[in-house]
Amino acid sequence: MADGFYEEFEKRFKLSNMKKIIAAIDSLKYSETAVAYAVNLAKQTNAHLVGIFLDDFTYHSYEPFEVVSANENGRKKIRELEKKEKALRSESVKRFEAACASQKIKYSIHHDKNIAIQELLHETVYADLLIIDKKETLTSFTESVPTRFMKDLLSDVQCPVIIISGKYEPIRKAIFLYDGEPSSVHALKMFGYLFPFGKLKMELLSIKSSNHSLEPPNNKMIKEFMKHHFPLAKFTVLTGIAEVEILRQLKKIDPSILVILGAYRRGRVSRWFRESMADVLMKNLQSPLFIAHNK
Amino acid sequence: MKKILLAFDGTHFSEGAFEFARQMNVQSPILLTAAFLPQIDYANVWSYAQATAGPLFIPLIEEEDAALVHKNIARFELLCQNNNIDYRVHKDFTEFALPALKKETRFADLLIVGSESFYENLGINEPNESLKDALHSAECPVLVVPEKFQFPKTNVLTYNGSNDSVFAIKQFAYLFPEFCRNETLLVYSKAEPGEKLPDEEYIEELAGRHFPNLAIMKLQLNPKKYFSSWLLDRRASILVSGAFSRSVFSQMFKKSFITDVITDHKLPVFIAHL
Repeated sequence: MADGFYEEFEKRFKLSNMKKIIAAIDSLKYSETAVAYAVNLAKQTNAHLVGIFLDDFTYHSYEPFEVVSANENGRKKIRELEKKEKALRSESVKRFEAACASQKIKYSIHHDKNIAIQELLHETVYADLLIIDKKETLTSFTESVPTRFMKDLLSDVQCPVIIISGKYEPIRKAIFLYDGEPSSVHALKMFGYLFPFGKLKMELLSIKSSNHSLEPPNNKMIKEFMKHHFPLAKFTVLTGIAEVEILRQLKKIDPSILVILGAYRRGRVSRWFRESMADVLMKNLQSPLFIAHNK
Repeated sequence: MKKILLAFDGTHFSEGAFEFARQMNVQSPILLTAAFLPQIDYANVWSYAQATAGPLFIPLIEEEDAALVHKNIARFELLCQNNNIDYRVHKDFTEFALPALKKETRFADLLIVGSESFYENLGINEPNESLKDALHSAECPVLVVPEKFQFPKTNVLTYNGSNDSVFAIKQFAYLFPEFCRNETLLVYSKAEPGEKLPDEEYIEELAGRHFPNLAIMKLQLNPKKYFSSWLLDRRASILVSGAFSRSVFSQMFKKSFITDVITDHKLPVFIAHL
């Protein structure tokens, strides 16, 4: 029975549902890892890749200080800096095109010149998946992770996101963080629709706060759902505090394993008091995170 | 494998809903889950209530109703067995219907609702309360079907520039990859003439990839009759819409010509919202 099942899956999922992947690129701080991930993923799923170059007109590679300190040569200095910046931006475009050509994938480029966060959120409405480096700030400063840009992005993103930390590895195993909440199941559904998962190993991880029963929330329903979408999935239920236990478990595993979670569905005010799980994971792990919510 | 939910409110058994699921199973195997929910017909409650000021209390299902529900369950099981459909039955009479339905949809890929009244009331009145509630609170996309329909061979995607309409198009593509190869029409459903279509390049880029056989129709340029004749030539269609809040829902269907089309042609309607 299991064999016939798998064959059916393989057959059906060769027609992948993933058709348009977008990669967010800060052309002034080009992320090699995010682009590599996007290109390889597009190749793996036979999807079209769009490089979204966030050429925010308010964002420059130079500090106002550099201009001011040049005194009388202010204008000349600005022109120099702008020339350098333009060169940097077109260098990024060339690097992206080279990466796509090396994997022979179909791609296109959008240059979004308005405010970065708004442009990117708008692009996600029309995309199946967004790939972005977790360190993106879209400013000339460095910030600690999670950056303000990422937090704003995750609150309102209109398609699933894969947040990259380390270098690309093909997705062979995924671990799904399940807490019974709607957005958690939604994230799993989205993952299932987008990824042809024939040879993918899946594990469900759930943390209960008391010793009541070592069953995931809504046990019968989630088991029924998992059985038909990911028939060989493993179930792990532990007790403890979610943030602590999950981190402990995830630190033990291979950092190439994709972590799936529904996150950022609570409001901004709620997140002041309690961090999102996504923030905790971004700060402490190198694993790629697949996040989707249905707000 | 998709998990399809059929929600039966107590004594009603929708032939149309079952038939659609049966045909989906022929295309590729599904898991069909029937949820038999307590009756949520407020008209019944009203006739038992003594005072309008008191809290509504939902009476336990009457004796003869309980027998009818069991008959429907047996019928469902037999139909599934005869048609080689993998099935489950969920029976829960302890909760109120709507929260139970909400939870069922959380763990389902699609909810199919058979509703003749949806088609009768469209454009004239708002859809009936219980259907509206179901559409509004479902945590998965909903497919409304009439009792008699033709299994879709073409898709009509309605787009009005909103996030919800694009979301519905994406969800439809993910849930029905077999339909994606069919002839597809993307209709810009804004009625005002001369209004430029929002994000034309973006939606073309997205829809063009999911639906290789795509045509785009701008309603303010092509009068209604072109659309009707397009449909007449291709009888069996399914309509995709992102109608969300109650007000937007009735607006979307009241304002546009789509209302007439749905009522005349009795098209299955796929609805998804955030």
